[in-house]
Amino acid sequence: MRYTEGTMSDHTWAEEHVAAYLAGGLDAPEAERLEAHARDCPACAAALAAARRLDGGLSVLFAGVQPGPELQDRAVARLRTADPPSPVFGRWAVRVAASVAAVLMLGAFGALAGAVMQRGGLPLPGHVRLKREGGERPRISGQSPPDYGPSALNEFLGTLIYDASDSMPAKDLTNEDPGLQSNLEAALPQIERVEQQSVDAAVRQDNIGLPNAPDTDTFALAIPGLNTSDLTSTHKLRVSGTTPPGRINTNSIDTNADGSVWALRGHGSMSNMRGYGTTSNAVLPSDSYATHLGSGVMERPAVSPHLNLFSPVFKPGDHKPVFAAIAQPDPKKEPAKEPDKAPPPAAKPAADGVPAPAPEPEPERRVILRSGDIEFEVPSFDTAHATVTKIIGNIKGAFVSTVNSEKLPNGKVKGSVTVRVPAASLDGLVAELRKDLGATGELKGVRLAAQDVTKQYFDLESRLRAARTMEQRLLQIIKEGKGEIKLLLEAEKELGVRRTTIEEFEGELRFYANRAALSTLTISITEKEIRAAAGFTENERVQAGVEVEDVDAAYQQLRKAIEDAKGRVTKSEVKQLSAGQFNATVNFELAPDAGGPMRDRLRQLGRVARLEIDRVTQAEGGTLPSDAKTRRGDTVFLVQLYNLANVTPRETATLQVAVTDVSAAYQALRDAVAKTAGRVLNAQLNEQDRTNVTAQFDFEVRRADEPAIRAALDAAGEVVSRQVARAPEGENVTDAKVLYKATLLSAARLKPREVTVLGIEVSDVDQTAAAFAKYAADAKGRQADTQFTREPSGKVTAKLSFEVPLAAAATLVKQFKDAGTVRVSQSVRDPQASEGKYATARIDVTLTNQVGIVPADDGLWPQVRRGLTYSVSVLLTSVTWVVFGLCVVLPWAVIAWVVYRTVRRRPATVVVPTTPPPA
Amino acid sequence: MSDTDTALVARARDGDRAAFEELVRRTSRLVFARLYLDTGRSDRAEDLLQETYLLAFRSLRRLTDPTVFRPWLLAIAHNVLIDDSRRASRLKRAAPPAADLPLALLPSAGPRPDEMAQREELRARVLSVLRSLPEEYRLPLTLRYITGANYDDIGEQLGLTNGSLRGLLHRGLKMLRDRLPPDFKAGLDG
Repeated sequence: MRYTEGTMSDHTWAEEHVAAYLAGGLDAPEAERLEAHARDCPACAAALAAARRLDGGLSVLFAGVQPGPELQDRAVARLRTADPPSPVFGRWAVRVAASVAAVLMLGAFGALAGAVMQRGGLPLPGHVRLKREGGERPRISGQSPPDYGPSALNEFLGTLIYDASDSMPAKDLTNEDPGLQSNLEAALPQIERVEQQSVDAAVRQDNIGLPNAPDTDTFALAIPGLNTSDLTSTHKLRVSGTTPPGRINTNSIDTNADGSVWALRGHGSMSNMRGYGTTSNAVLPSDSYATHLGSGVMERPAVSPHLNLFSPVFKPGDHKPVFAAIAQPDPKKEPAKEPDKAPPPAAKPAADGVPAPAPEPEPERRVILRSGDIEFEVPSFDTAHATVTKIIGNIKGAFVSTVNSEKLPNGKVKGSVTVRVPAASLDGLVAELRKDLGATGELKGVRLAAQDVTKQYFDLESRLRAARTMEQRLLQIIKEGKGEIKLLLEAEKELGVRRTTIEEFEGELRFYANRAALSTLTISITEKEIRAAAGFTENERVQAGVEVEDVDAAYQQLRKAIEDAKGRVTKSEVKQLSAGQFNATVNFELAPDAGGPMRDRLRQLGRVARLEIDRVTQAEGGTLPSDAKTRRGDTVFLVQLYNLANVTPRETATLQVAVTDVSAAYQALRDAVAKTAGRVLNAQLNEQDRTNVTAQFDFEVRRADEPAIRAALDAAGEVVSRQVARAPEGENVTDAKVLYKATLLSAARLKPREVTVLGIEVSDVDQTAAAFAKYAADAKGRQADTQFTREPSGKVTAKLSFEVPLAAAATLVKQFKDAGTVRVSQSVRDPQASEGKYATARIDVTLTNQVGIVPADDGLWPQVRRGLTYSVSVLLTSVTWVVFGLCVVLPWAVIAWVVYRTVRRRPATVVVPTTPPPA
Repeated sequence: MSDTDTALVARARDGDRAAFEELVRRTSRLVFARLYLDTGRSDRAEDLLQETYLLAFRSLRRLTDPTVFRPWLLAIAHNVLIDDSRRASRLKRAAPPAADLPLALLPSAGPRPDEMAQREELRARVLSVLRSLPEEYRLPLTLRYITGANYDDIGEQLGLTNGSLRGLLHRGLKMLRDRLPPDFKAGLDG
């Protein structure tokens, strides 16, 4: 646009185009023109120079920040890596999709949580899980997921104990290594561990019963490898009882000192103790010699009388048996004799699948002195003695050493036989004695004792050996004859002392050997005492009280009856007491056979109120044998006859009878009592005024006449209260009579059963009151009270009181209520009042006419009330909204806000205008 | 706006990437100048520039009138700038930015630090003056001095005719010179 040439001067044009020129915006002719002008015009030259300086200065100033020519390229390159515009989804679409996804996720999460909760999988606070309690037992085996609830823990423990107890009997604790003591110790922790397991379980799981063991005796822990004896090759730890994992009391483990049997029996009573064995006294086979010297040889004779009490005495290998008489028990016999204690050596290892690794045991060496006492009571001493002698004769090596006998003051013989038998035969002898002597006599007691003298014995032996060696030495010295005479003499002297010692030792050893070889049994025999026959005498004593109508007649009849029965009267009297009371007392004796008929005769006389029979048996003679004869003595009768005139009746009935007419009822009742020959005790009629008439009537009647009296009472009126008292049974009261204390009162004075208070607003009070009176009369009621109040304001109030039969009350009240507007209605029932045919209801009616100064629903207070009501209802509604908002809107608002914030934080939130802003 | 620009916008709106690239070339310095004016930092201005174009590219089909492409683009740039400064302030609030301290400590190959500081201050002052100019004068001058565009480029970027640009340049420069601080002018004169 070349608009400047003609319209403006060169100067102006040049001034205006300096900027364009400097920017290179002028084409060549224009630039020429401007330069030419600048050469001529100093002002324009200065302006050009200034503009150039400014231009240059600004360019230099911003040279460092100019983006360079590659700016466009960079922008384009960046664009090329960018995603193409999404043709389908706008940003809003993305937002909506995200929101929908969030809501769906929330919903899914909620549904999932709800489902889990419903199945009880997610215990919330206050949501107690009881569903599976006592249900099916969850398996705690590998695959089922563990449940950590408390009940699950219990169940888990329950399973544990099941497992423990199941595995207990089968638990093989056998240590296969036939080692020494360490084996047992190695095995013990296992025992302990197993036990501990079951203990823990049992402590927490008392309610789960332990399963009974199939065999109470199967729980045995066998640990072979510690046998020191050939009697048993296995140490047993045996627990018996109903619970397999019974607790073994630590203290009860009895490690036998001889190391031969190591058995423990836990019996039922101690099966609940716990513990485990210790082997403090465990004996090593290699040390058996020392063991035998240091330990006893006892086999607990008290526990097992059949044990072979004669235990073997073995010598160490370099010793020969000292005494041939000391028998070595057959090891094969021994287990057979006592299978309970020590089973055959091969049995248990075989059962355990482990061969007995028993090292060759050292022979046993024991010296045991056995003795015994046995006591019998027999019919004849001599026979018993002969039997004993015969038995002894059959035992090889046995003999009777002493016989003592003595005649007692009562002619009986008492004595004792002392026998010596080989130790092995002692038990057999005792058994035979028990059989033979016990057949005729009675075994009074057995005492078998064993004394272990092994230590003394071998001590003696050692000392004997030492003494013999010394003797040899001395002999040697003397034989060689060297040294001084004095010394030789001393040696001789010493030799003498030694020999004495040796002989003492030998004698002592011989004594022991003798005692050990032959046991001593003392048999005490006593003859039984013979007792004389004796007898019993049985006497019967009958005490009777008889109620009769006529005492005198009955007395005569009784006397006659006694005479007929050939009895003997010991006492007889008849008394007349005051108030027509008679008493007769008759005491007599009869032959025992006549006792029964006489008792029946007494029953015919009258009513037997009291009958006591004693039977006394008395012994005669000395000690009573069981077959003594009983003799029956005379029967003694003590009989009392009396009439009932002055005897208080046992039963007293106190009645209150409501009657319409008291006087008439009183008369009727008197007539009825007179007809039944009852006895009137008290009768009074109290007529104070017309409405207050009462009567009191006390009388006694026989029980048989009671229905007639009841009928009379029912006819007279209605029994409103009845109290029956019964005195305790005794001599002074009788059941044949009943005492009645009847109070007659007027039915009109009964308390109303129901009281109804009515407040009724009617238009015309007088008219309504008259109508009400008519209603009451129709219902057979009566008007008790009437009261009219007339106020100057025109208000009329009538207070009416009606007493009507209870049955008609409901209808009447309804009729009253229909007469006007009911203001007050109240009904009270008196629970103490009776509900019979005389029951009444009282209706108190207050009648008012409708006169009001201010309408009921107008005025200050109703307005305040109304306002308060509105305010409260509005307040409550707003509270509802607030709660609704808190519970429903607020969570969603929070969620929406969070979603909004999340979306806002995305970088691409720049608002893209659809139209440019106004420039 | 020239017809070709309008045609380019129409083509780009139909998904022609090359057309949009051409538009980018034609407007990038304008947008850069606009952003630099407000940010005062060329690196940030360039970042925002790229962001602006990305946004514009994505939402181009929402531009109903192709003739107002440049104002529309500048409006996007403005929003991007606001958004960026908002985000920057948030970052500042959240945590101090990891400063380019190690880089700043490196000895510069350029002018000495005091000169740099002096120049920086001067630039800031000139920029403030530029910002105070009316929009129509501001942009050409910015394009001229800050983006280093020549006359034709300015015209292309602004989509202006030759004559109108001359007037704008003249009056803008005059206004700038009047408003520049005296010491700056003295520096230039001296």
